[in-house]
This record gives sequence, structure tokens and C-alpha cells, in this order.
Amino acid sequence: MKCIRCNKDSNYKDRTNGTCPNCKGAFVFEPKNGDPITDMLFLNAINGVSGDGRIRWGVEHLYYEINRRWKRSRMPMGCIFILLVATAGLLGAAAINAAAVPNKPLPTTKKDPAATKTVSFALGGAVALMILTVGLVSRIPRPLVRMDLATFNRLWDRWRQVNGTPKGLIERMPEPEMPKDLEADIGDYSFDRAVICDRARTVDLLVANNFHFENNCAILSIEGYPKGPFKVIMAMLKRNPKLQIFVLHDATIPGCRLAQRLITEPEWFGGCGLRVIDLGLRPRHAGPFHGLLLEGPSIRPNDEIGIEQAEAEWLSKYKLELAAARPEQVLKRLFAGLMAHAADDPRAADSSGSVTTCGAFDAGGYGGADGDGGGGEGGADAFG
Amino acid sequence: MSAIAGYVGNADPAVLDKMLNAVAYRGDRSDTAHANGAGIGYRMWSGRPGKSSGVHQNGDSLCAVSGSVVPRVDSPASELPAILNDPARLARLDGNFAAAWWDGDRKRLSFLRDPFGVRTLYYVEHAGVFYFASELKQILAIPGFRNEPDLVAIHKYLTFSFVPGEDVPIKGVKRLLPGRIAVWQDGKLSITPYFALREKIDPELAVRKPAVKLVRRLCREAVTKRLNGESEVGLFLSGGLDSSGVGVWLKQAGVNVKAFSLDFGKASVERDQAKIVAETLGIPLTFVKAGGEDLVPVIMDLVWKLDLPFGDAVTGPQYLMARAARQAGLSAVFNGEGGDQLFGGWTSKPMISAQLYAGLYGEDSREQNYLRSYHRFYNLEDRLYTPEFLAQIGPPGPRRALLAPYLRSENATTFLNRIRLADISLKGSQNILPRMDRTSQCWGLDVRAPLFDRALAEASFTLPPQMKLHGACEKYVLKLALQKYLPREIVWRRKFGMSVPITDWALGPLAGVLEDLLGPVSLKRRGLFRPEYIAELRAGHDQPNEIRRRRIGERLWTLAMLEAWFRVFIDGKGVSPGGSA
Repeated sequence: MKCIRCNKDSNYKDRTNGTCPNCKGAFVFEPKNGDPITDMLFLNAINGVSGDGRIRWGVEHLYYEINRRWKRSRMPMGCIFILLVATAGLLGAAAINAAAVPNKPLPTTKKDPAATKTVSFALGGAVALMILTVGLVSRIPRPLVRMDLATFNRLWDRWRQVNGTPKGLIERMPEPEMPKDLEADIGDYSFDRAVICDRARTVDLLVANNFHFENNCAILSIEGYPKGPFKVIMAMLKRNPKLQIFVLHDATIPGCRLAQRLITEPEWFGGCGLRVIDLGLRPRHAGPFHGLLLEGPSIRPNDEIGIEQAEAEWLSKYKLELAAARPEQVLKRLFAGLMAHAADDPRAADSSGSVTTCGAFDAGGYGGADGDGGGGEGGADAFG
Repeated sequence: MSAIAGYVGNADPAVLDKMLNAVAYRGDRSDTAHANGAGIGYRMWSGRPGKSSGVHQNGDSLCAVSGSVVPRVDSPASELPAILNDPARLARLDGNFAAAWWDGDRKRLSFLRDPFGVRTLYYVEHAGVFYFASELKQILAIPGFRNEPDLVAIHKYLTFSFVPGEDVPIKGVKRLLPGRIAVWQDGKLSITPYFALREKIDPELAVRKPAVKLVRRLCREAVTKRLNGESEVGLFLSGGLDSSGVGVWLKQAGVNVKAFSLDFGKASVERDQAKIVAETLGIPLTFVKAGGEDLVPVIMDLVWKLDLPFGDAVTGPQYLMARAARQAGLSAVFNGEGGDQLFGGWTSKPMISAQLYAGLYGEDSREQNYLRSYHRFYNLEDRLYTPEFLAQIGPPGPRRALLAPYLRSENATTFLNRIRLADISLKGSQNILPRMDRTSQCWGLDVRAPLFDRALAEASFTLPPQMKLHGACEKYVLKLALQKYLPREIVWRRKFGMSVPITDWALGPLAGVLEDLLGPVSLKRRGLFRPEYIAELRAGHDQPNEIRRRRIGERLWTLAMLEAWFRVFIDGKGVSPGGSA
């Protein structure tokens, strides 16, 4: 196992007291003692979500990153197929040879020793291959996360006790009220666009990475976060009759209904005649997140408001959190979604509003560091 | 379109010739005068209306004015003492000028810059002599002067994309801030402002009609009073609101106008809009091709003419457009710079957003956000700077200290107007205007930015800020003022801005230039930057939280211009590197 500090590879017997024999740095995890992961995997996961410390991220992103990396299967399907063919071949060979063994009645038990040996060999080989195949099949990623949250939280606590809090982790300050000495005119203006999220942690991710600043953008959660400036920002949003509204959410039943809520509830934009653009996530975005899904509520939505019939079955079985996508990808794909609709008329045909879905989160590559979701650059830039 | 220089003290009088020859491209003749321990020189073009014809000498009094004074006077140099001695005239003084007066009787040198900083003045004390000049390269022409780089000023450049404040990236040299008068007497320098913007909101201007009427009148006057009797002037027309508005008021003034617009090929953003405006106003329009390959042969000349490092890639296309205007026979050209700064464009909305969300995850001051708005290397110092460079840049406070006088100004009570003060004083006066002046001066072209007009700017601070940023609509009052003259699609569309396709250029036609300026050999020799980070940028990768691809090119251009500046002004001591196209 490699040390994260000095990169020294060591054997279990050399790691006395759980320390590196080279630099004496403490290991957090010890697979020989039952820990599911190594320090190096944990560190690589942190580097993956934080862009090597250059992007702000939440602990929920790390949970999914650990799951993404833990016991990752490396293309077993081809091997499984070959093994199955080989097993079938061996079984076939055993059968042919078994047929060749003289089927004389007892007590003449004199068998052809060569044929018997071949049958035994073929059957033994087939059994071995079947065991191997079953082992590999067990490594095919399942749709649901393998490591539960409680296990992850224990590992996370131990990591922080030894290595401290990693760089870039988003930690909220005690939520500030609106500063009392703020100039009075600041609430008189408005925003070009708003991103409404189904959970406050998504707001944290976007604001901590300055998405609001870069895109003349209000970012709020449906539950009213951030509480301090929430009312002021909502009043400001209503001052722009051409406000562009985007929703960003988990693929859950409430998440998929978020856009509908915004155009119907008067405290949001009900009656404003605005179009809401749904960026996702929806069930169709689940493809790249195999192995990162959560169990659904097991009941189908009882109506189809905001949810298509084809989505209802999936949503009853599974949930997909936006945190399963790496922070870098969320920022870039959200930006691509904003740019794709930069020149659109934000007004709906009538006062009841409308919902449009957007393809910014459609393509794969969420786990990789080189996704090109942010390639498009429209003109609605904050600066010249 | 000219330059001045001068000294006080026991200098060789021939130094003036050296200082004027250093900017020979700023005129076709020079004039110098010496009196009672001082000398002043003037480099100028012959026969330009509204300009001084030489150094004005009256006994021991010497005066020189580079540029034009508003309200217009026939001989700015001969009027200068009267202007400086009359508070009422100083209170109205405007234009684009740098001026100096040596009062031999009182042995006192006064020098000043225009209110918004179109023209520049540097000064330095060297070997017991006090010198001033329009350009840095003139200071470097002083015999025996050592040109050591000032890394603290370089650090500021890498944050702002220009060198802000009084700093100059050469040790010992300072720059007079715009709207200031400096007096050198008895070996001491004192500096006083003669111009400062103050918010004085007139509630009656919350009503559209009087507000629009005021803005229309002042814009028209701002344009008219900058016409020096030329029969024909140029207009740099982007197709955006501001330059289109200047086109409207130029036409109303009855002057012949030729418009020029940049053509970035497929990457052009406002090309069609420029065409629509030109057709609407009946102005002939020339598109000037600007591609990365067009900049390759002229980059070093551009850097030399810019005098200070400027990290905005717009300077290259502006240089090409000014050349086209000069080749079309023009000597004066107008543009729409200033509309954003005065009437609430660009930084207003991001700063409002930042302010509302401030403090959720840690320290997040107004100054920090404003520094971030420049999108260069603020907070990236650890990735970019070598440890040796990091050790020399000092604490972070001085950059924020540059902003506090505006962002927390007592001259304004509203958030929007405090941001306006910062935008006018920093982005406008220390970046946009000086670089605009120099890219035009390159070609003997006098550039005028009428929206940076003193009366108009003062009036803009009497408008309720909601007339500037109306909901999410920027420059609202200016749009109202122009909607009757321009098509709706020009006035009310969302702002696009001039987007120079610098990332495409940096990774394409300029890649060879960048290899020379920012390749491993060059970086090692200069010793300021970590090669790994720059290699990432050159490979087309930026920070993972950087969502705009354009930032790659902007950052590379900023670094390339700095290295080119080092070669010209430090290694080459300010001598022209050649390469003018």
C-alpha cells in the first residue's frame, strides 16, 4: 500500500502501528484490518472532486467520487464472454469424452482411464471457470451506490482526524443577515437570470465557485436559501420582466416537478408568463451515473405533473442526486445551458408560463476531468 | 497627438532633444525652450487646428500643452497660466491634454493632466534634476537613468491587466493621476486634484423626460465641443449603443463622418449591428480585418507604442483600426468609450450579485470582488509566480487600498455610483483611455472620447442610479435618449461587447509568438513565472472552475504583453524594436 506523503509502497508487516516505514506518516485506512479503501484512493477522490484543490466542493461530491472509484470494474464483459465460451467448450469436451467411456454394466468396472481422466479434467476446468465468471459478474457495477452513507461518514471523519480538512471544502459560515450598512439602492436593481435549485447544497456549490458573480445570476433554493438575502433577491427578480429562469435539480420526483412549481406558485413566478428552462437532472441523464444511484421511493408518482409517463417508473425505483456529477462538470454544463438559451425570449406565450427542457446535461463524461460542457461562449457575458 | 517633456535643475539642455526624439512618431517637428534653470520641449504635428504651435515663452515663463483643451482656445499653451490662476476656469477645464508651466519668476513647475486621463504624464527625480514627460520611453532616454523593474507594480498589472494608480513598473518613476495638478518647487512635490466626481442626486431627474433631455443635450454638446474645425472625422463604430450614439451626435453636428469597424471573420459579434447603424445614419463604413495573423508582425511595435503593459487584447485590433483610419486620410477620430462607466454597464450587475451573497463561505469583501472582476491572476499567484517573485510582491493590502477610495467613497452614497466611481477612475482613466490614446497616437491620429466629458459625467452623478441601471437594463437613460434615432434592435438588445477572439488567436496564429515570449527558455530567463501553469494555458486548459474559454487567451495575452514589455523597456531600454507595419 502506498503512502500518500512519500509514495513509498509498503507491506502490511512493515507498517508498524499503521505508519509508513519510510516517512513515519500515519495511515488512516488499513484494508488488512477490514477498511474498504486505501488512503491513496481517498486522496485521489479528493483531488478528483476538487480539481487538485482549485475548485470548491461539498462532502456529498466526495461521497459519490469514492463510490465512483471504489471497486471500479474494468471492462469485465469481454472476459466474461470468453470465460463463458471456454466453460461451455470444456463442458462439451467432458460430455463427448464421457460418451466415449465404455458403458458396460457393473461389475465390469473397467473404464478407459484416459477418457476418464479427460472428463475429470474438463469438468474441473469448467467448475473453475464458472467460479471465475461468477466472481467477475459480481464486479459488474450495479445501478445503486455500493458504499452507504454511514460507512462513508465514518471514513470521512477518520480522514479528517488524521489529515485535516481538505482544501476547497465548502463550509458555511454562520449565515449572515443582510448587512445593515449596505447601501439602500442595492435592492432596486435586478438580475439577468436566476438558477433555482431543489437543494441548498447546490446553491452552496454554485455560489462558492462564484457562478453568480460570473453570470449576473441569482441562485436560490426552493426552500429559501440563502435565508439572509432571499427576500431581497426575490423582489429583485420580479423587477425583470424578461428574467431567464433555469432549474437545476436531482432526478427525483420533487426535483422533476420543480419547474412546474415555479410557474404555478405565486410566491415564485406563477402568473408572470415566464418560461422556465429545466436543465436536469432527469431520468434520461442517468446513463453515466451507473453505480451512483440511490433507491427510489418504490411508489409511482400519483399524477404526471412535471413528470412524463416514461420517467415515472424510473423515479419510483431510483434517485439520482446532482452531487453525483463532479463540481467542475456541474459548473460547465450549467454555463453551457445558460449560453444555449442566452438569446431566447424568456417570455412564455401566455401568463401561465411554460417549461422547456435543455440538453446541457445530456452528454456523458461526468466523471472525467476534461469534459467540454463549457465550450460554448455566448455574448451574455458579465464583462467585456 | 503630440508629446511634451521638461526638466527643472542643472541638466544638460540637450536632454530635451533626446526626450523628444524618443517619441519622434508623435509629430513632425519639435520645439524646445529653456529659462532660468528649467526647460520644456514639445513634439507636435504642424497645422493641426486647436493645438499649440510650439512652446509658449514669455520672459522666464515657459508653457507647453500636448492635446486639446475644452472649452476650446486657439493657443492652449499661451492660455495655460490664466487657466491655472483662475479657479472658475479650472472648475470647467476639460479636454484631452497634458500640460506644463514653468514659472521662472517663482521657480515653480506646474504640470497637469486632463480630468479623465487621456494623456499621461510621468515624472522622476534623477541625479538632482526633476524630469517630466508624456511617455515612459522619454524618461528612459535621460542619460544615466537606470531602468530597474518594479515588481510590485508588475504584480498589480497581473491583477488588473494594467498598471493602476501612480505606479510605473520602473523603479523611481511615478505617474500623475488624472485631474491632478502637480507643483514642483524648492525640491518638493505637491499634488492637488482639480476635478472629482461627487454624487448629488436631483430627484426631479427620476422622471424620464427631464433626465433624457439633459442627457441628450450634454451628449450633443460633448461631441460638438470636441470638434476642432475638422471637415471630416472618423468614428470607431462597434455597433453597440455608445459608439452608435456618438455617430448620431456627430451627424447632428453636421460633420462628415467615416466609420470603421473591426472584422473578426466568423468570430465577429457585432458586425451586422455596425452595418445597420451605418446605414441608418448614412455613414460610409469600412470593415478592418483583424486576425491573429495580422498582429504577428506588429506586436513589438504595439508594445513599444503602448508604453506601459496593457493586458487587454483589444489593443491589437485598435492599433489596426487606427492605422486604417489614418490611411484613409483622417487626423481625428471619435469613439464611444465612457458609456459603460458613466451610465452603469459592465461591472454593476456582477458587483451587486457579489454583494448580496457576500460572506456565506468566508471573507468576501467588495474590494476582493472588484479585483476578481478583472479576471486575470488575482488569487492565482501561487500557481503563476515563482517563489522568488512571490517573495518580492509585498502584502495583499495595497491592491485593495487602490479601490477603497472609490468603492467606499464619501463622494457617493449609493452602491451603483460607488461602483461607477471605481469604473471611471480605474477602468476608464487608467486603462481604457490611455491605451486608446496610444493605439491612435501610433498613427498620428487624435482620438476623442466625448462620453468621458466633464459636464456629462458630473450630470450623470445627479441622475438617480435607477436611471442608469433600471432593473436589469443597463444604461437605461442613454437608451431612452437614443431610441428615437436608432433602430430598436440596436438600442434595446442585450449587450454583447467587443469580444476579441483572443483564445483562438493565442492557440492558433499567435502560438509561435507565444512560444517565443512564454516558452520555457523565455520563462526561465525572466524567472517570474512557473512554466507548468503557463504550459497548461498554452495547451488550452484553464482552472477547473473557469467556465469561459476566453479567459485562456486573455491570460496568455496579459503574460505575453508583459514579457514583450520587459524586452522593449527593460532589456531594450525603451528603444523602438521596429516592426511597425
